[in-house]
Amino acid sequence: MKRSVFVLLCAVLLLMSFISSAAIAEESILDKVTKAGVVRLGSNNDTPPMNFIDEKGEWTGFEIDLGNAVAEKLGVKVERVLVNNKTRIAFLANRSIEMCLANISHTRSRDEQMDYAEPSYFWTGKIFYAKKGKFKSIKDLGGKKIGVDQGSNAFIAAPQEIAKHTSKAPEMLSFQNSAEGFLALKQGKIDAYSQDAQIMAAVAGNLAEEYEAVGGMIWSPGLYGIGVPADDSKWKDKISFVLQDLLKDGTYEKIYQKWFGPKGKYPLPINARPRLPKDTFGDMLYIWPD
Amino acid sequence: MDFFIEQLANWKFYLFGTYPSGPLTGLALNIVLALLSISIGFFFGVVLGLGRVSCRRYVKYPCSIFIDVVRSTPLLMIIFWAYFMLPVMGMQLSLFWCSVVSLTVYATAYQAEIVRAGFLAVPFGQMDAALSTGMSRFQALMYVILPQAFRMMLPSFVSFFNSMFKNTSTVYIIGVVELTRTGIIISQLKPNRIFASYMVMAIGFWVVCYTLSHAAEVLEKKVGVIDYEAYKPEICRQDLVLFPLPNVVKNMLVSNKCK
Amino acid sequence: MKFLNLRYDFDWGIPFREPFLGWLITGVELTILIAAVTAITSLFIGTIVAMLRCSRFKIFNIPAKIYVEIVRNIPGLFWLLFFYFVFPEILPFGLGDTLHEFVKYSVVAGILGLTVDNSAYVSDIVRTGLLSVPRGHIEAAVSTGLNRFQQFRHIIMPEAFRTILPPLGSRMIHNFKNSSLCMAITAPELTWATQQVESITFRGLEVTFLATVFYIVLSLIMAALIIKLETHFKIDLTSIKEQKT
Repeated sequence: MKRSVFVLLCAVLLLMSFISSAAIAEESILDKVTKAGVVRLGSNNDTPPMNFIDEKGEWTGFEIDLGNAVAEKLGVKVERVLVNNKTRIAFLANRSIEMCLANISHTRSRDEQMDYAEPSYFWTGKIFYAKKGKFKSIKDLGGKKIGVDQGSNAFIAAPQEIAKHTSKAPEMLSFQNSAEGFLALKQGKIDAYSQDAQIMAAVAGNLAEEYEAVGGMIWSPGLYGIGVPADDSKWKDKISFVLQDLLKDGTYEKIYQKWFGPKGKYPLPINARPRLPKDTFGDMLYIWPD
Repeated sequence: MDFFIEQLANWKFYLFGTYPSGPLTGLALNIVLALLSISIGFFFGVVLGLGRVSCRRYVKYPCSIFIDVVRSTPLLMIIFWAYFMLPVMGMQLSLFWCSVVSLTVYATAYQAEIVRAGFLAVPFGQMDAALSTGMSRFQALMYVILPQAFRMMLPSFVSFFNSMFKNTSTVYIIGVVELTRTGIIISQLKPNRIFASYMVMAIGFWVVCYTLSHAAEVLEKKVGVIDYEAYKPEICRQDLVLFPLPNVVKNMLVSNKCK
Repeated sequence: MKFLNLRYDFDWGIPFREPFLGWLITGVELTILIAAVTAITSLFIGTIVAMLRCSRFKIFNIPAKIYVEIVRNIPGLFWLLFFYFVFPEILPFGLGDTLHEFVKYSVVAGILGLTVDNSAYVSDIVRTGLLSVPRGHIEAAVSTGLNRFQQFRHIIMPEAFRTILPPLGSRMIHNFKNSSLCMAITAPELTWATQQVESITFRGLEVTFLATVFYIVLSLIMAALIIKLETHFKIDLTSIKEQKT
């Protein structure tokens, strides 16, 4: 009898500690970061060409360079925190990191948990990647096996997209990272893999010629934004201004050319810079005037 | 066979990655993780194991609950708890320390059971005998009980090290670049050599584990093995308690099953 | 009163919302399915390997010993990855492609991997059980005229399985817990479901909590069941003695 009471007590204590969670009113992250002189920057390490670890074991990639440039402009040092597709949003939501450049494309459900600095710094999108000539259009993907990254919103979005074209629902599988998914695609375990175009091309490497985007098209826009914790507009504005300054003074263009320009490491056929519509604005970059 | 030799050219990467210029990865990381989690877990394991044989209920039940809960949770779940819960609690740990924490929690619970069985295997009269020779309780525990208990626990510890070493491969799921992840990375670079890179990975694990399991066997033959299943959880040992309680308090707290 | 200052607001509605609830339920079903199937297959293979290891003939006992030594010293996770990524590649005659056509090859690979991993431990346990049967009992069986199969069926197996029931049970519980590793190879079992919910909603602690409770409760139920079985099968020696006198 006494024993059961004790166990009950323990259970209640455990529950209490769970329920009591506090809304934290803190000073702005901007003040905290400038005071400490360090910004905690979330990066992942398995999505070339955005950010990955090279043969020497060092972090490299487009987002690493851009993140360093932002930190440099802020005048603070970078403390790099490893995130992955599953943890990047959670870490921003619980403020373990102050800034995150880890190919986070803008979605509404993510925006509920975090904020994005403006504008989105890289304009790309999701494709269905499959063996050349295997599928003509997205319609053919009905009833097939489709892989995605665990942590990608495509797990729900891809079946919805395919449902627009055909009534046969695809079978979805989620992999721990794109490289494992591509291996499965290559071995024929899945028929198509859904991921952002430039990541897929880099993961496939020299095998990229054998594969193509189904229908040759992006089916869902992926506008990458710098993730910042929610409800801190001072910090969000600061990062937005810094990013736009980088766009203005040509630092962004230099990094873009290094990675995606015609002479870059991963030449990109599409123009992924943030820009305003050509017919109205000419080739103007997405920058707010003073 | 030549593709196998080609894999072995990568032996440095399999064994310790790009260390010392880069982070320590590969087989060495598995060994470091296992050693760290077992040695930290040993300390807590002794405390919890002694706690579980204690006759004081406020000590015994928390220890028992912790041990049973951890032992019936998959290691992967413990890893995810450490990975997602610690940042929420305001602790920002690197991936390495996060895996050390989760493996330590796991190791603690299992080692506590080894320690408990070891202590219970020490015959009842020993403490009284030691006390009657004029030793203090602490001395008796230090010089009589503990040496015997640890001697009996030794084979179990070695075979637990073996299983813990294998368990370190689980942290690959949160992205730690240990031997499994190393093998996968290499297999992805050369997908048509996938069999060879998995072979090298297996050999890496096998060599370490085989050595350990044979060490355990040799020790078992020398020292003997404890029968874990013979000990029921409700057993407690008054004679192993370090500081005896006054009788009034004891009657309030100590359960009747005590001997 | 606040014991912990959490930077997280618990929303216990999440696990019960669609499609998350559906994922979790399939996850629970699949976890139980994988655990049950691997328990049976590994018991079967483990017993055969144990019998081979006890054989007098070197052709039988050496391969069995090699099998156990190889499997037991390599992590279970490796076997899962091996059967998912490598095994179909090394099969001849395009059998691997046939495997890929399977609706859920990930589950099949998970069952294969866990079976291989578990069977080595099971065979070790069964072997100790077989060796624990006293020589005299077998001799008595021979002298009453039982043939080799009958000896096995009526004397050795019942005695051995009584002694090994507790370790065998804890091994099966361990195997049940190991089924969570199948998430690495995309099998949609419970741990995978919690991670999937986490990655879509970014709020995974609620489902992780529920899943942990599920694992703990089912482990405890299995442990209780094993104790029940043990008492059920126990031979009451005192009553036998009474019958003698």
